[in-house]
Amino acid sequence: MPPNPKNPINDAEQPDMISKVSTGIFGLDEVLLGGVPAGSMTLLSGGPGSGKTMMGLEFLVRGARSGSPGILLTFEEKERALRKYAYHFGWNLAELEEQGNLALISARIQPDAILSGDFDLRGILSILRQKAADIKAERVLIDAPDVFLRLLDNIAKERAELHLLHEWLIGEGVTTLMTVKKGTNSVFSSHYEFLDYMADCVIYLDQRVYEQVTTRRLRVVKYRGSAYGRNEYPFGFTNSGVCIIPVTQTSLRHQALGECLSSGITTLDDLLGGGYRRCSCTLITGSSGTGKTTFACSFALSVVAHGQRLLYLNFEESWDALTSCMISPGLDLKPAQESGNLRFISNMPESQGIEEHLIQAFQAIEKFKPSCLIVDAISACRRMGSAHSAFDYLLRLIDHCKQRGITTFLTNLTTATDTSQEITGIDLSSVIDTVIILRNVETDNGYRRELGILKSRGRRHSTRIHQFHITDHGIEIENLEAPDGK
Amino acid sequence: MENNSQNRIGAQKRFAVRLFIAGDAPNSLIARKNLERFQESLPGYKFDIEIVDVNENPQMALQCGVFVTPALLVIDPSPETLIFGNLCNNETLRNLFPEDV
Repeated sequence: MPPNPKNPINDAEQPDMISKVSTGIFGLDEVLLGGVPAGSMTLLSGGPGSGKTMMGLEFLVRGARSGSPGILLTFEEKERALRKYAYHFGWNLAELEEQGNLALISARIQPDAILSGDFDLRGILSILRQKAADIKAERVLIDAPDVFLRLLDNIAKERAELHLLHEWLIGEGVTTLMTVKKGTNSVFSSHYEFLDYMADCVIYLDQRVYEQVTTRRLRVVKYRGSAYGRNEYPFGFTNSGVCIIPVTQTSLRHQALGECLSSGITTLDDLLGGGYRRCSCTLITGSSGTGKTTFACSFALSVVAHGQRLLYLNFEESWDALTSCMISPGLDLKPAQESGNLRFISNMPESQGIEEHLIQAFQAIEKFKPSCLIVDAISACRRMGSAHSAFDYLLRLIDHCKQRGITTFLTNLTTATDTSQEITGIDLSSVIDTVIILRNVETDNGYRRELGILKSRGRRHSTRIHQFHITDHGIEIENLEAPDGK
Repeated sequence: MENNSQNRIGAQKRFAVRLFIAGDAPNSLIARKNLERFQESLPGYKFDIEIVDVNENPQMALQCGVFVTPALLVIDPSPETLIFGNLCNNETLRNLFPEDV
């Protein structure tokens, strides 16, 4: 909107604009389209262990580090315990306090305190007021006020006191986060439901178990005067804080497909019209024993031979098992690993939720900076919970790679009941650029290995079925013709 | 422990308290009244009352763990005891003096 000189009041106040404060929490500002509402209250609501306090603490730490002082008022935790939790993420609270950018107030009521008659929150307000003035606080985290309010033993009074606190915070113009417990107990939930209406922004944190795998989800329930990401987003904790993993403005920021990288098999490069394109996503799919991993390893060795880095995420076998299996087709992975350009991570899919798998992959990508990534096999990702979990994991991982120009290569194990139309079984086809299908065809005297290229975006490729062999010096493809499309 | 019992039934019959109030907030005014009334009900005691307004001295409130007002910190008889509320229940105070029950 262009400024209107005839209406100076409007210009000065900009009443139509919601101003936001960046939380500095990885991924959260993206979901909130900038941050939490400035000068008002945001509610972090969730059950036990959902990460409310840590997310609030990170908001203060990120603020304190960027010169925006904050106060942590907790009614539940001891100061020492908080310092320890913070230390786990590499945050030195004492240092931030010395700099005058952070103040901790632990307002734990002694359990043996005696109650006699009515009281109110003015004591804590005066303490808050002084601290706020002392450090010129811009951010406040109110942690677990319910613990304290329960002392009042009267719902109407609890509400009145929270309104008093809210009014004061708004009056001070500080940006506040408040954690509130959201229990499965409906009585308890309705107890503090009014907070959802009072706050300008409400974020639900959820820890759930699906098919025996624990996962964390974050959802913005409301945001007065602002748009926001409306989905549930997986989130988790890294060694430096909270990490929320939204799917970004899908593919808008994906880099264009680049030059061709050799698949490690010269004949296959010819069929593909050059090889796998940089930043593309290739899927190789087939039933058990069709040679998917051998194709993956051929590619891995080729990448490393060209002096580039490859990250190999394996959900099916260990490094030792893989290297010994690859000796027979003549693929020696050990020197590649020793060169430092091949990094191998092996994990059981069910060992953690998708957010933890993603964070692990993102951190490895951040640290190792690979130019190519292999996921072997995406079918195993279903064991992270469900086909939908696998989809969430892979979509985010591929999205992350495509934004960074990383070439991805996925293997997929199909079962006999899968139809050939169903390429992945996980419905990823929109982000996949190249699909190679492998199969073992029964003949009179055994099995014949066959390969076909179902699609390869932006390249002319062979559309024929080709026979191939796994020899002691890698893969050899028969019946070669130029990619004439016939 | 011995010290405690000596103080409680000691000849001095001293009652030292610190009352935390928040200005003229209704509950704070009620607490002052109730404390006065309690003092009048125990003529044999020497009362030593310090009144702290948390709006003026929040540091003291923080030190004493006074997060709600009004609050009464009973210093003597020891051990120190913190009572939250406007003291409308005289029994609570009286129970700190075993010989008066």
